Amino acid sequence: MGGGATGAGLTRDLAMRGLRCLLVEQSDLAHGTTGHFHGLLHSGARYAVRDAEAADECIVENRIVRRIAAPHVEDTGGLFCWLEGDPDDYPGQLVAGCQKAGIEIEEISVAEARRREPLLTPRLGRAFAVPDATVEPWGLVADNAESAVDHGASIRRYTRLVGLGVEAGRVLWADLEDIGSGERERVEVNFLASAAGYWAGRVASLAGVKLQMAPGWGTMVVMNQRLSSSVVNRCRPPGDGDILVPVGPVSILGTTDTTLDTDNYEITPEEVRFIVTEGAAMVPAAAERRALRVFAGARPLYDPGHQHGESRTLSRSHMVLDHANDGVDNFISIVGGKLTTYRLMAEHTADAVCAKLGVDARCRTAEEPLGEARKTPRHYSLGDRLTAREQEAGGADADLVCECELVTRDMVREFIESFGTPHIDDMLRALRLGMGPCQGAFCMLRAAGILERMRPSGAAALEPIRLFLDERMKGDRPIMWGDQARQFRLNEIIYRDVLALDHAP
Amino acid sequence: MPPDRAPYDVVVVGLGLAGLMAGLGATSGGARTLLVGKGHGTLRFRSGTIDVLGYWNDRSLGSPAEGLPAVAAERPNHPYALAGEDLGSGLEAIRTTAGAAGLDLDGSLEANRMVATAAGTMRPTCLAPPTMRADWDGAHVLVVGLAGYRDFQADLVASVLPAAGAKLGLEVEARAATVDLPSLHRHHLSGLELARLFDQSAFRRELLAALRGTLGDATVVALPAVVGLEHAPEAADDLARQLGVPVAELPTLPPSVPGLRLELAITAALRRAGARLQVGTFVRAIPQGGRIGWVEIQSPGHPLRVPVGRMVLASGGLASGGLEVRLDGTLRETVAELPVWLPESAQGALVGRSFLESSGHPVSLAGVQVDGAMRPLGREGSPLYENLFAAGGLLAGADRAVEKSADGICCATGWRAAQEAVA
Repeated sequence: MGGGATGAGLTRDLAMRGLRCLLVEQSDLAHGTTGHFHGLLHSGARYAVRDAEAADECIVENRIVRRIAAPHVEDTGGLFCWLEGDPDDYPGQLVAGCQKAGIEIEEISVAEARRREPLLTPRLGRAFAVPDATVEPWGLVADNAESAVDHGASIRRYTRLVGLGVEAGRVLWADLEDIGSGERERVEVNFLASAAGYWAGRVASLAGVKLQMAPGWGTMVVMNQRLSSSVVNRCRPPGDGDILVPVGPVSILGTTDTTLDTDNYEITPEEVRFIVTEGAAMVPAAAERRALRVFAGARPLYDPGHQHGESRTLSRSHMVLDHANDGVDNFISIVGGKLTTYRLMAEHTADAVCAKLGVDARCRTAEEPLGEARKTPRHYSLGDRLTAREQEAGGADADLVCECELVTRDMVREFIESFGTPHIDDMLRALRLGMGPCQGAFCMLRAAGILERMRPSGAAALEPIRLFLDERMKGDRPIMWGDQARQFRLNEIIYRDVLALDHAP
Repeated sequence: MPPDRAPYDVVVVGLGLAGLMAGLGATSGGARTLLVGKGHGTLRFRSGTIDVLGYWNDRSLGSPAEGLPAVAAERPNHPYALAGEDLGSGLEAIRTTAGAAGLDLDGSLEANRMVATAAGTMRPTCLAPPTMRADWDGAHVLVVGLAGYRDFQADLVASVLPAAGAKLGLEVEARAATVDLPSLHRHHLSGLELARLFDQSAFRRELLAALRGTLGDATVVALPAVVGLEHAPEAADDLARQLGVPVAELPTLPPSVPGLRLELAITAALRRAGARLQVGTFVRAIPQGGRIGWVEIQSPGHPLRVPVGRMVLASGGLASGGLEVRLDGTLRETVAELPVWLPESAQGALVGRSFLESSGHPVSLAGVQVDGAMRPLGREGSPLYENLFAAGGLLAGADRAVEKSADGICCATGWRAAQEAVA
């Protein structure tokens, strides 16, 4: 259960060990916590002072993921930046912790740090280089899923688990519902492994097992530009707003930590301002540049003590829970953890599954590269996508529908062909259409036009635009300042003053 | 610091519709006038129509005149409550100026007419070029898209238009045709490039040849609003005559060709009247005692100080950069650092949850408060500077998107501010 990084990794691992597996995901792959994180492939330094176990795991997995998933990793490196006024004793603890965990850490001069990252604050007092990197989660999960299928596994997306049949301490069957058609199917279950993350408690409850998750919501702010080449961490005990991660063409400022048991976490302008202000303490430009979007992801933390409050003190290590202890013998859950250690979480879970099933097979996921893992890690280059599009167009101007994210008419057409009748928001996730600085101002009308030509809907032809405008508002509302507010009013001029969508039929 | 230049009687900051109207008012009053702005105004983002008042309190208005008394009574800080009396003179001034350049603007305060848009919707407006005033009731519309022009999707328009008409009690039939002409064989055609093609009779003949076979029983041919730039009326007349049916222009995504036509007509008139126009420089107003002493123009090399007799601030709202939202959610006025009024409804969040929120977004009402003479007010409610007047998008009290009132506000307040500035 669960098509995030852990579930996809677990399915791959089990399939490579020769087990017949079915992966069930209620939405799209990587749609949950996996797709809502800041993109950091931890070196482990962030945990080195307080959580030695997590630090050890991170550095080992960091090296493995770089090797097996190279196309999805950017070797940015990371800096821990100690600013005047930060706790004096922390840098020493950081270095000691990293050395103990085997994380390469090197103090560099302030001048060298500034050479690498010119936008760093004048308050910078000391700087430490660590092997942080960034990882692109959608590609990572897609490659894991593809490899799992190559090894004989099946995957069902947009399929919800609606019931489990438990008799005499064993799960015997699962009822699955196709979200699109509403059709239900009962499948026989020999063993159930749940990697549902924040939703693990709900899967367990269907088997009559009580499993208390303590989701820690983290809010992140996407800035319109790369503000640094490397990951910038604040050199002080972990806290809100202490990281800036360069991801492709943007930067992500993170993060907060709010324990709240809800599906619909509402981001407040106050926490966004706090994140931006804290980020600006490290890189002052963060307060002046444009924020493009905010999002929140739920850390799938497990709370054995059922305690609520600050979840950052809970271990970021993972746990494999054998529900034999709860009276169900063929059911385990994997909880906690983080994307950097997704492979290790899958390995530990697969080990437990195999032990219970009496299968003697070794884990091979640390050695066998994923997909096209032949490229060497390198920095993201802003020109890459345009080069690719122009090559596709035979050297001519590409026929772009979305200039900000370089999406061509053919890409939109092919997506509609394969998807059915998508929302513009589906095009955003799949193609990045509408994700850039103009916030869909130009591509919305164009995409709706192409959609109407291919999938005529008559008077409802403007509905995709209306839905997309409202979807964007969710990530737009808490960052209504500066150029983002200016773009909002421009888009209002276009779609309301001029095109009068507010009085559309 | 001493000024660098001989004085102008009136300095207008902002080159959108409000600034241009203020310039027309000032020059017609005989003032030596400088118009200066950071960029071109939002005319290029709008329709080239003059929207005065289409809706009030969720009610569709048959005419602006019908709604103006209610606006004045219910919203005392609305620009129409303060400068509504000058609306007629402002509209007359723009109509005359556009007409002198061969651009007719039809209509009156006594009636709203519906213009169709590139989304297939219908929007009420007061003044519009003849090409946007088609008779939609009973029309059989052929919606013509042009291959290579992405910002007009004929299929979408033809799908929505009949339902948009039905909502207003109009019977409209529509079908789409997208023509692929040799002259259009490239990607990324902009509206401006197309408009220059439409100026040429050779291109129009090419288009006519492609359309003849598809015309059928069409009584109106709808095209994106790109039918000519410098010879627009001639281009539209020529097409209509050759086709035998009227041609309708549907406003679409920026840049707006009809808006640009209007801008070119007004700026030409201003130059003829002796005004100086300066585009591309940021401006700050520097107070000196109880007045604006000079404006500092951020020209290359060093800032240029121009002494100010009277000043009209028409730097626009959020989209134009006249107003700006700070990180803490407060607003600032960017040229003279005037206090910005924010409605109480904006205390929680500046915008609502839905983009098309029927009540509009709280931040839309924000802006600079003025008295009846268009003088910006301080926090305690009295005019801040004796020689400063404000007009257009930066004024508080109106939700232009909801009301469909942006252009009329610019005409009324720009004209009024100029009258006060030359008095």
